[in-house]
Amino acid sequence: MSGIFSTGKKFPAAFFLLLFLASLLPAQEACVLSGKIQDSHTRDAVIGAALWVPALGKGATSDEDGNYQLSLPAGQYALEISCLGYSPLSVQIDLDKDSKRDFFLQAQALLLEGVEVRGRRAAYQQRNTMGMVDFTPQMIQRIPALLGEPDIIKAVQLLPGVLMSSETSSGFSVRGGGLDQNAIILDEATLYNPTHTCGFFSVFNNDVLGSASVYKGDIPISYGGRLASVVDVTMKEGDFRKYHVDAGIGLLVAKATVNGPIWKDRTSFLAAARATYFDLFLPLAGMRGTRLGFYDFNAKIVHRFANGKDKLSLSGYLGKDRFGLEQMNVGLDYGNRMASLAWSHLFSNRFVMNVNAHASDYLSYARQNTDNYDFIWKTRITDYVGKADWTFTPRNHELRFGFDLRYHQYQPGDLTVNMYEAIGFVDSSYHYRFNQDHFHALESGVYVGDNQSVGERLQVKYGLRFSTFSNQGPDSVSFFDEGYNRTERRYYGSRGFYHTYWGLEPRVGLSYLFNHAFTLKFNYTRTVQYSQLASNSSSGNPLDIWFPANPFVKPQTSDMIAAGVSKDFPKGRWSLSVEAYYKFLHHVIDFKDHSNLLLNSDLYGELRMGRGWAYGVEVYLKKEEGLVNGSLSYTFSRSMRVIDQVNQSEPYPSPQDRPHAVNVLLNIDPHPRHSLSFNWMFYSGQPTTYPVGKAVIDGHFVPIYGKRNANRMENYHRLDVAYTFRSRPGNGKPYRWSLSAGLYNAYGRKNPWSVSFYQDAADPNRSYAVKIYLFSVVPFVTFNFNF
Amino acid sequence: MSKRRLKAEKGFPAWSLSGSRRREGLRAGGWLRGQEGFRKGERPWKAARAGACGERAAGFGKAALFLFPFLAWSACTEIIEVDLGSMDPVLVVDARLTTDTASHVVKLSRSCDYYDPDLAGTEVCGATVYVTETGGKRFDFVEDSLRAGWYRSRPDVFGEMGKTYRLHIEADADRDGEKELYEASGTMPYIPPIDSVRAVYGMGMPPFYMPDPSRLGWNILLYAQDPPTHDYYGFSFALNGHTYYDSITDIFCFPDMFTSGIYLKGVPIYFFADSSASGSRRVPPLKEGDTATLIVYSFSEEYNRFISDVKEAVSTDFPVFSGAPSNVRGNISNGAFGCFALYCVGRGSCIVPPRPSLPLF
Repeated sequence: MSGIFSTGKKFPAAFFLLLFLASLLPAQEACVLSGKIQDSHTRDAVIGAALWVPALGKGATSDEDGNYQLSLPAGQYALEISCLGYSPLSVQIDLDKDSKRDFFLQAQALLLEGVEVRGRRAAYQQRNTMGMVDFTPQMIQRIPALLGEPDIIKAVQLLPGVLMSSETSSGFSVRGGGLDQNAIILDEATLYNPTHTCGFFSVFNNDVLGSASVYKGDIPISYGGRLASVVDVTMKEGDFRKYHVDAGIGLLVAKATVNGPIWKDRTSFLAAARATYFDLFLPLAGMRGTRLGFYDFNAKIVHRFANGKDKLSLSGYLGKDRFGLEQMNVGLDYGNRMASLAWSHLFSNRFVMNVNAHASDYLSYARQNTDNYDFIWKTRITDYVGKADWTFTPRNHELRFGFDLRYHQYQPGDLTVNMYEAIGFVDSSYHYRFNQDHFHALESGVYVGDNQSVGERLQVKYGLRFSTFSNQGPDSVSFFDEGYNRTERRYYGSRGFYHTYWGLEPRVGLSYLFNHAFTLKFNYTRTVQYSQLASNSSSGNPLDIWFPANPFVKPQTSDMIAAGVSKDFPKGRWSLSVEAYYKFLHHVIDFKDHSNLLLNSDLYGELRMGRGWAYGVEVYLKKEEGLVNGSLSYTFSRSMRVIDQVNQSEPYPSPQDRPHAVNVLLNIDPHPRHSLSFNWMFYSGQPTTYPVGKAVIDGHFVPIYGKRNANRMENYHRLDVAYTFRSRPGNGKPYRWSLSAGLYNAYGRKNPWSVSFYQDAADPNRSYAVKIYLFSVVPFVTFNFNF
Repeated sequence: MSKRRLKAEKGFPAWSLSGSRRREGLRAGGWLRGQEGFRKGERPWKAARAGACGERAAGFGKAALFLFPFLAWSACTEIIEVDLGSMDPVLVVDARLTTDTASHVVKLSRSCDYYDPDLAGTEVCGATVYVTETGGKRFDFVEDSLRAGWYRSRPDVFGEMGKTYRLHIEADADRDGEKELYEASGTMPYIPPIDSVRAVYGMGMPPFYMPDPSRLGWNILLYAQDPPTHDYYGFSFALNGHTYYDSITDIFCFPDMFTSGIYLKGVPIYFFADSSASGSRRVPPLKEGDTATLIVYSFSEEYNRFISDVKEAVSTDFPVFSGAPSNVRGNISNGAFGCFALYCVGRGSCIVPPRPSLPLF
C-alpha cells in the first residue's frame, strides 16, 4: 500500500484513494437504516419512493427492487416516506445501530394535490446524474399518444434534448446523436428495433412496465456500447398475493394483462398479450387481402427465496410485425425476441449482487411465395450476454463494479431465390443464393466506479469502464485506401479472434447543492460504440442492418462535457433546470452517395468516415402537482458532420440538426374522475437537400442538387389533446375503468414528411415542388379496464 | 454572384449558392393559379403516374414498394412553393454510340435553374465533338443545322463490341467566350444473340407480371442464353417499326444477376393487356400480322448506373427508402453532367399470330 504514496507517477490513483479513505472515516457514529418499501396491497416493490428526514435534511430513494439505504447518526427522528401514487407515511424511528425496517405504502388510484414529494426531489438531486429521468407507468399514461396507446418512447421524445426522428418512426436522437446511438433495454436485454408498424407503436406495453430510467448523455458506467443515451425499462413483477386482470381496447389495438401469485408470497407471474385488429376492417376500405399489424407477448416469473436474500426472475418478450399482400403472396415480417434470467442476491444490507444472462434477437425478412418462384431476404442480429454487477454502499458511498460479456452474431443480408419449372422459362428448378458475410464478435466491458458524498453538499462521482471488441473468424475483410478504393481483401480462416479493439471510458461528475435547493452539476462522459446501423433512410425502417466494427471501421466514440444548474421551488412544486453540453464525435460513419446496402457483397465499401460535433442548451420547467401541472421544455441544439467524400468533404448539418425544439405538456385535473391533457410540440424544419439547377435529358428534368442538408423543410408543430373519464375511485368495486378520447394533430397541421420536385405532366416545361404529409387530424378512443 | 472554378473531378458540378432567387417570370402563385394543370394545394397524382413502363406489376425490385400499402394509402400530397438556389451552368452531355449503323447523336446543353421554364437558350452551339476508336479511327460529329445543340455523325458509323472509345468535346458551357475541354471514355460491352421472340396470348406471366384470369393480353417472350457474366441489359419494344419505351426512364432494366448463366426459355418481357386503364395505354392493340420487335440493349456499367440514377431522380414513387438525394453519376470530365453511353443493340422480331379462341395458359 505504501508504494502508492511514494511515487509521483501514481499521483492520480493516490488522490482518489485518499478521497475514498477520507470519506470512510466517520465524523460521528453513523448507523445504516435499510429495508424494503412495498405496496401494502400487492407486496410489489415500490420503486423510487422517497425517504426524508426533515431534521437532518437527508434522504434516499428506493431502487428497482424497492430496497433503500440511509446513513444517519444515532438518535430519534421523524421519517417521512412518500411516492407518487401512494399516500405518504410518517414514522418515528429510534436508531442506535444498523437496523432493517420494511415499510408498506397504501396506493391511491389517482394523483391528488398534497402528495408530499419534497423528500423525493431532494434525493433526486443528490443522485448526481445529469439529464436522468425516471418514468412510472402512471406518468406515461398521461401523455396523449397517437392512436391512444401510451408509449414510453413517445414520453422520452418529450424530454429536452431528445428529438423524434420522423412521424413514422420510434427512432429518436439524443443531443445530436444518431438513431442507433440509443440503448433500448428491456429487463437487461437490448432490443435492436423497438418499433411496431414502422414506429406508430413501440414494443413496450405500458401495462407491463414497472419502471423506466432514461439517461441522456451522462451514462452510468454499468452501461456501454451506445454513445448517446440509455432507456432502461423493467417489466413489473406480478402481484404475490392477488390476481389482477387489465384489459384495454382502443381504435386499433386490443390488449390484456394477467398477473398474480403462483405460490403465495413466494412466486408470482405476469403475462400480457397485445395485438392489432384493424386489418380485419381493411376489406371495407377496399384493401382486400392486406395483412397489416403486429402482436406481442410479455411474460415474467419472479421467485423470492425464503431466506429473504435471493430473488430469481425469468422474463421473456416476443413481438412480430407483419405486412403483406395476399394476392401477390408477398410479405414483410420483423420482430424482436428476448429471454432474460436474473438473480439478485443480498450479501448484506450494504452489498448487493445482480447476475443476469439473456439472449436477444431481431429478425426481419421479406418474402414472396408463388407456385412459380419464391424468394426470401432476411437480416438478423442475435446477442448472447452474461453480466454481473455488485453494488456496495458503505457510509457516504455507492460503489459499483461489474462486468458484461456479449457475443454478437450479425447477418446483414441473405437472399435466396428459387425458380421452378412452372415459371415456364427455365428447364429445371433453379436456385440463386446471395449471402452477405455473417459476422461474429465478442464485446466485453469491465467497470468500477463510485458515487460519493463529501460533506453535506457535494457529491462526486468517478468511474472507469474498460471495453473490448473482438472480431471472430471465419471472415473476409476489405481494406481501402484514402480514396476508398479497395486495396486488398484479407481472409481469416479459423474461428479465432483476429482483431480486437479496446477503449477506456472514464466518466466523472460532480454536483453541489447550494442553499435554497439550488444545485450546480458538471459532468464528463466518454462512450464507445462498436455496432452500427446501416440505414437507407433518415428514419428507421425494418430493413435496417446492423454491422460491427472491424479492422477497417473503427468504433465510434463520443466525448461529452455538460454543465447545468437546477432549482426547486417548494411552493407549488416547481422545478427549473438549465443544462448545456458539447459533444465531440469521432469515427462517425455515413454512407456514400447512391449507397447500396441491401444486396452488396461488400457492405463496408459503402461507408465513409469522418467526425461530428454537437452542442446545445436545454431548459426544462416542471410543475409536478396541482390542478394544473405539466412541463415545458426548450432546446437549442446544433449537430454537424464532416465526412470524407460526402458534400465534397465539407461540414454539413446532420439529419438530427433541428436548432429549436419546444415541448409543452399540460395536464388539467379538475376532478378525480376527469382529466384533460394537452401536448404541443414545435421543431425547426428537417434538414434536406434541394436542387439548385436542372439538366434536361431526353425531355426529363433531372435535378442537380446543392449542398447536402443546406435547406430545411417547413417547421414541424402539432397539438395533441386527450380527455380521460374514469370510474369513481373508492367506490368499493373491485374493478376500475377509464375511457380516453382525443385528437392527434388537433389543428390538422400538414407537417411535411418529405419534399420532392417534379415535372408537370400536363406542361413538361414547368416543374413544381410537392410535399408529402402523413397525418391530418387523427382521432382516437381507448377503453381500459382493470380488475 | 461569385463563380467557382469548375472542378476537375468527374461528376461534380461547380455550384454556388447565390441565395434564393424568385423563379423568373413566375410571380408568387402566378402560374400556379389560373393555369391549366395544377393549383397550389391540389393533388397532382391523377395524371402523373400514367404510362409507367408497360403494365408491369410487382417484380423482385418493386415488391418492397407494395409492402407499405398503408403508408401509401394514408399519405397525402400537396403542391408547395419552395425557393431554390441557383448554380453556374454546367455542360449537360447526352452522347450515345451504339452497335447500330446509323447517324449517332450527341446532344449538348446547359443546366439551368430548376424552375426556369424557358429552355430555348440552353442548347450549346458551335462545339467541336468527335469520338476516337482504339486503333485510330475518328468519327466527327457535325452540328445539325436544324436542331441547335445536336451533333450528328455520318450515317455509316457504328461501334464494335470490345473496343474502347474516347469522346472529345470542346464547348463553351459557361458563356465566357472560351471553350473548355470535356472528355470521356468507355468500352463497348458484348451482347448475346437473341434466339427468337414469340408473341403469346394469355394471362400476364411471372416474374414480372401477375397472372390474373380476368386480364388477358399479349405476352412477348424472349428466348436467349444469358451469359454467365454480370451484364446490364435493357429492353424496348417496337410495333410495326414504331419504337416504344425507349426513353431513358422507360427502358425496362433487366435484373441480370438472378439469371446469369441460364438459358431463358421464353421469359415474358412485356405484357400488353387487352383492357387497360384508360389513358395508361401507349402501345396500340396488337393485331394478327403485326410485326412485334423486342429490342435488347447491353449497357456499359457506367451507362447502366446513369440510367438507374436518372430513373431514381425523376421517379414519382413513394420515397420510403430514399436516403439523402445525390447527383446522377456520369463519366465526363471537367464537371460536366451527363454520360457518354456505349451500348449494344440487338433485335428479335416475330409476327403476331391470330388470337386463339381459348387462352393457352
